[in-house]
Amino acid sequence: MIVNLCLDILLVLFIIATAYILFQKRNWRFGLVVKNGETIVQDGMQGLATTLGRLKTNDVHFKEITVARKQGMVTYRPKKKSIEYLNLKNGRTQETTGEVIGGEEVTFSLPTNDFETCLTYLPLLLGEAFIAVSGAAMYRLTGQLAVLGPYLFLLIYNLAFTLIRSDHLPVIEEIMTILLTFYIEATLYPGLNGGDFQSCLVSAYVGVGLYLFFSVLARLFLSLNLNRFLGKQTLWDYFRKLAALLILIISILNIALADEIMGAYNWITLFGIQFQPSEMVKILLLVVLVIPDQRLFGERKSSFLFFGISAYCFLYALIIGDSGLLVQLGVIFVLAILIQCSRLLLSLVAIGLSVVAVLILPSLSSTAFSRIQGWLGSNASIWKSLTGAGSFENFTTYGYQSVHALVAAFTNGGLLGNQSFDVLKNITAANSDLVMALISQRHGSIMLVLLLGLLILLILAVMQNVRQQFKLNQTLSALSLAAVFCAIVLNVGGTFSIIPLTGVVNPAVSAGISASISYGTMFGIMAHTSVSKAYWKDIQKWEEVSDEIY
Amino acid sequence: MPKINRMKILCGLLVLIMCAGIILVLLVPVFHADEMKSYYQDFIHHDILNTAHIVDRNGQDIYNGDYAESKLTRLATFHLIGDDYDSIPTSVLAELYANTSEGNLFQGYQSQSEEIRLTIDLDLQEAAYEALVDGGYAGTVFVADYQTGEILCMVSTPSVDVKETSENIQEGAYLNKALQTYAPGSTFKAISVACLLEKGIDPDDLGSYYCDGKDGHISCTQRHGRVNLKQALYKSCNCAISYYVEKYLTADDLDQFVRSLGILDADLIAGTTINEGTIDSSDDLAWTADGQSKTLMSPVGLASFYAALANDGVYQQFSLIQGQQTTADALISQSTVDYLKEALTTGMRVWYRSPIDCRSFGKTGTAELDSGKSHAWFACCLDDEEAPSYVIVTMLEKAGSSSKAMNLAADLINDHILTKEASS
Repeated sequence: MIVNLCLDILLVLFIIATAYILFQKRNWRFGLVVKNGETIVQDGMQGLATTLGRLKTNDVHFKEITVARKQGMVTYRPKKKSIEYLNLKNGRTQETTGEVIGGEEVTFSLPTNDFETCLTYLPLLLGEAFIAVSGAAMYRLTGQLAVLGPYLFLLIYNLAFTLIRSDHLPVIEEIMTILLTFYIEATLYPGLNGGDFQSCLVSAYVGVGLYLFFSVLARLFLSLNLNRFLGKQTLWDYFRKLAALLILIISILNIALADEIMGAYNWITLFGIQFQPSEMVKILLLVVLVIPDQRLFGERKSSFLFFGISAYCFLYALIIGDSGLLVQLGVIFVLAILIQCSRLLLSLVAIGLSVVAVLILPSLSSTAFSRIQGWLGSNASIWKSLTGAGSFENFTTYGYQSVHALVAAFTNGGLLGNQSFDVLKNITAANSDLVMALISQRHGSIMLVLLLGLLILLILAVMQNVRQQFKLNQTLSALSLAAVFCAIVLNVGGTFSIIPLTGVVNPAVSAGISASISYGTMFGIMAHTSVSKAYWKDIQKWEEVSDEIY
Repeated sequence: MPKINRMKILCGLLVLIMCAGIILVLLVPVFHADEMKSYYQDFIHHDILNTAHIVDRNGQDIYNGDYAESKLTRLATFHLIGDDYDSIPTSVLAELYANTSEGNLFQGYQSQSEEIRLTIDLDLQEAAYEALVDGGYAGTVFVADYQTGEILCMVSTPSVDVKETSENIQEGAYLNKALQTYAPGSTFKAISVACLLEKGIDPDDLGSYYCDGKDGHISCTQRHGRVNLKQALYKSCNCAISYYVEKYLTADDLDQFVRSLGILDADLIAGTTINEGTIDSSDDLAWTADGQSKTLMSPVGLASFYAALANDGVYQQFSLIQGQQTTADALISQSTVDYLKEALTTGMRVWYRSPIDCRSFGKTGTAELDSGKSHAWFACCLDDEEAPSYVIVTMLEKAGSSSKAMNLAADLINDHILTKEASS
């Protein structure tokens, strides 16, 4: 109980300190200051690139009819330490500090950094302390020194990115590693309950390793100039097509080889290891759905890939019977349209189709139908179902897992947790689908609320982080955030009976190796910045250049 | 709208959804608190059943996460251990559950898998059960150490095999007869005599009484002739005992004395609540003195009095679990103890012709029922240096003659208790 209290205190302090620093950073001007006759100062939130054109989706909007819908894009190149202007009419890029657009003179100047805080390292210290205490507690519980290994990986990961990041503020990295401490616990859970502990320990090492590896890999990948043209297409265009091809291959293999588990054909066993191919499909679809910056949404080739692959993925999710996957893909699809498409009609059609899909889903999938029926119960009001009435009514059938989860999380766990009595001991998927209930049981409902609060912090941190990203990466970040958030809502909501159970796992918390690839990549995307520490060393020199421009 | 503004709106929506979700998650336990508590109690109950480890005084498993493999053990210990449905409220499992804390706001129930070592001797328990079943009796055998209070045997028939749910359950199977109350019959006479003596009556001053088999509405099974108080006791002369009691005591005297002994109380076994006995001599003091009328007493209650007799007047509270805290109460004076022990020891030798192969004292009793049948009682204490310090009470429902209860107890003592003592 004392350990749980310590962890609660550390996490509260971490959230408060990080939230305060993010609040302080909100006025941090990182980006272009654009002058256009009268001073128009961008708040820097548009990131490392600023788009100009007649379309209202551009960062700087022009009304003059002679200006193209997408006239151009001004980009910081941190590696080259230059400002580049890409003229989208003729596709040429040049280093410049100004352009005449629509008869107006537009000048580009350098970012300023007026952010100073002595608290910069506080989130790191608190986050590392949390990980260290968690590791020590696990060592005390198991008596095995080897359990400290995964925790050590997390500590090193945070330290490394503190040094690498220009702002020394690895908030998203810290959030991911804090969640991964619970991932380690969830993975070791069967071993703690009398199962094969060594096997669980190996899984913990592999899982944490994969999460960290793929998050780093994602960042390395995004460090490339993905908007560089190779012939008529950008590098990103090629990656989109590759992702689409991989989706086709993976889905066919899944359908051909999968074993049926709980009504879904979602698992493949290869060399004795079970994994879910659909987790890979999520991240690949994300790649397909992000249109390169300079492309117009609606161009034939981009649209075919966008809508065609999306429809194929929905069909794939239906065939394998994974309603949770279908919902996640649907959310990513709708948000991809809403963020990138300037056509209101198309956006409304996308939303409408999604609503229709949700309504007809029960008739297409018997598993989904029975789950929705179980969740609804015989209640006349949806409010009662939203607060778990259906699960309690159907305790012996649909509600069996959820009721156990609720009792474990609140009645057994109390405020500070209970590791002496395990209500979830013989409950299926206790450390994956119901992992939040397991955490609340072992650490208390205070920790549960704090973890959910941590996710709110993640949202705010991602919004701050996009300032240090290119447009394409911003969209990737937003969609990754949406995918992660959707998974969390489906997982937590299903566990605690707010929504029907979907069997979706919790990113970076639920045990399992398959999800580590996709969610590790997504966290890496969200945490990536295109600005390195080296950039800031020259900021003073650039400010001098900026003064010359003005 | 610029892309970045759309992202800001998206993030704002996500934050709102998250906040709403947190509120809903916290509302669910508020709306379903009672149901969750009820399910939690069930889960705790199952955990106790799965983790309880109960052994006898010698470490033999009686229950270890599941009932014993041996049917005899299950039957013999059913009323001690209980079942999954708390059919026996006084059983060890039921008491374990009743004494378990569900935890508090900060932390829930703390599961423990400690070994519970009973004071019971499983071999003796099974032998007593077999003796009851072989005789076709519905009744109870209660054996305890009167110096330490440890219960060595508490068996009741008919019993239930918890693993054979298809078998027919006999009437009364769910009752632990050792804890139920019955008219004590002539075994109560020792208590009536104790009351006389504790009141300050000198037995030498009482003289003798001539029993011709009937005195008013009181009758004896035979004519006992001239008897003194001691003889009246061990010969079980209803007329003499009731005569003396009516002459020297009032109804209140007897009632208050019996209640003051505490042998009708519900806490005779530490940590367990048994049925309370009753006494009301106001209607018929005479028959009450002889252990009939409205007097109801449990075999455990009767054993507590006889145990006190053997233990120099001090009743050491009975206990079922080793290490339990118990109390000791002085019930009667040494002079009363000496008188009663001498009377009952003489009775064992002279009247019952020494059915037990060691020095002992005891009393039979036949409690007549309105139906014409009788409960057979026998209460005795082993009072020999070569024998363990045990009090034994047997009660056979509607068995008729008290000699059946005495013979059953004697066989058990001679064949099991004394044999085991000799071999050790």
